[in-house]
Amino acid sequence: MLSQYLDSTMPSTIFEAGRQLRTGALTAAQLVQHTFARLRQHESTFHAFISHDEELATRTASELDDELARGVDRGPLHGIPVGVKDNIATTDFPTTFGSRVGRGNRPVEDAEVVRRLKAAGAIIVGKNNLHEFALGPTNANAEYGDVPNPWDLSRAPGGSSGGSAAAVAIGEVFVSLGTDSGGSVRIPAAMCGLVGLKPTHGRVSLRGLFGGAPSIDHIGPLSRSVGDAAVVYDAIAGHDPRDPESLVGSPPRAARDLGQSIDGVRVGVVADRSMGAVHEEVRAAVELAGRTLGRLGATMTPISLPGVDLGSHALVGIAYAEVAAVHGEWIRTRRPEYGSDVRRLIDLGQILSARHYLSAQRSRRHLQRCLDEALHGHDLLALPTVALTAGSRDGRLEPLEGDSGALALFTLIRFTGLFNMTGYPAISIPCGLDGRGLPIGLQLAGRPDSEPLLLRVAAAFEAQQRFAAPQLVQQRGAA
Amino acid sequence: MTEHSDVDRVRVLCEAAELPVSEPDLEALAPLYALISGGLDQLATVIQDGDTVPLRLALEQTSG
Repeated sequence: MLSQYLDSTMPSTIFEAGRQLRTGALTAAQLVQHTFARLRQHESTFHAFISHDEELATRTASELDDELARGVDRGPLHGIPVGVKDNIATTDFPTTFGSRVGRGNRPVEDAEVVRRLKAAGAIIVGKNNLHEFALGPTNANAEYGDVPNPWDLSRAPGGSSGGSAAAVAIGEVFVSLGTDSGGSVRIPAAMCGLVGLKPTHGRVSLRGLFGGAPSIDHIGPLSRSVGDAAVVYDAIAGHDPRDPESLVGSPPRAARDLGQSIDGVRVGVVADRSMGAVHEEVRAAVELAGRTLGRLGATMTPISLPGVDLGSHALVGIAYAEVAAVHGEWIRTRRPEYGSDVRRLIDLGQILSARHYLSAQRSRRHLQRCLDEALHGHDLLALPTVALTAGSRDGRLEPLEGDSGALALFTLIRFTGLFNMTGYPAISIPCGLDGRGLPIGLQLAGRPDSEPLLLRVAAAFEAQQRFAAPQLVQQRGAA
Repeated sequence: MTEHSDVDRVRVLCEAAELPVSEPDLEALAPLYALISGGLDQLATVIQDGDTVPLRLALEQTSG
């Protein structure tokens, strides 16, 4: 159970840590010391980091403490220890992609998101483990160690950003940047009781991400609170002229809207089976979350979202075909270095036809039309993040009525992939526990650039719900 | 149970792509390929019926 890994001696949110940093009750150096004490304590179990550097983090913290003492304040992330998924380029650490193929790879330039995090004063303490090349949901990783779910070590944390999720859930870092091409931020967030934000496509630069499917790739934060996700989004979002996928213009600011009323916000709740099978406990939790939002002043309407069931095929068709193109040379010359599951997916991408790829790409307009119709008359949608709670570490999921024969991956991305295909923003927030005490995720999704609204509604829900991540419960109890 | 025809089809495709896929890998890849390609074929029908002018119609119009 997660509670045995928690530590209430340190602040659990960036907001609280920032307050203590600015009153002098705490220093960035102490936060870094705490981070590495926890790494020494827990990494043999969780393998949440592939690499880390205490000396560098301590030196950076000291410089940032000096800045604060001189009155130089870079903002909410000043002095905050963070992690970065190891498929995002960093000059201070190797970037392995979670694969033997990438062992020793040392980028010559930081990813744009890393540059922005550093400029905002965040302390990157290391690189988080992932499913090899972000191509799977279990985070079973023969090269760098399997990542278990902190809520139940016999279960997977969800993926592919599972190392990021575990590191945040057990308090090693406040936030970690993950990547999401079909749900890889939101799924582990849901399964580990965290907040996970997939921003509007193009608002956060992908330059320096080794993904391979840039039209569906996204970078976003996993955090323990909605407010923490908002401050990270504000730090990393913005136009990057060197990223062809980047949107021009300034993104809307998110953190400043938190705490405002959600009175009159129109929410369409998808708590039926129109998008496919969903576990009854998950469905009930989403329905209950809808009632909570209604009590907070939102106008709730039950809706269906039909016509998107083949979206998972389309997403996989795009992802594997594009990934296969990126790996074309490596998969031939370094084939034995790939894990068998990942090698199989890349092989699949190699033998899909251009006709298949074209069908998948053309489906995006159809999916967008379905989503726009569902959003008609609503400001945002509320739906499950995942149809089930965490499965076993070998990737097996609990049988789901009405879902026999489905690929486990399709079951996992059923509710998330649609927002990768359309590029619309979505956030997963904890909304309850199932009968075994495992977290359930509520997903909120909206139109492009609706991050401020998504985060505002998510924050209102977070403040009211009975369930919250244990660290937040502890903090509230102590307040 | 993997259909022999699926395995044979995938074997041909892998050979064409010059992929050195072992027999166990072929057995594992075949049902995955059948599932994904089948879904994408089905999707092509849905999209062509509802979303775009089919290519064949455009060709008929220009060739007529």
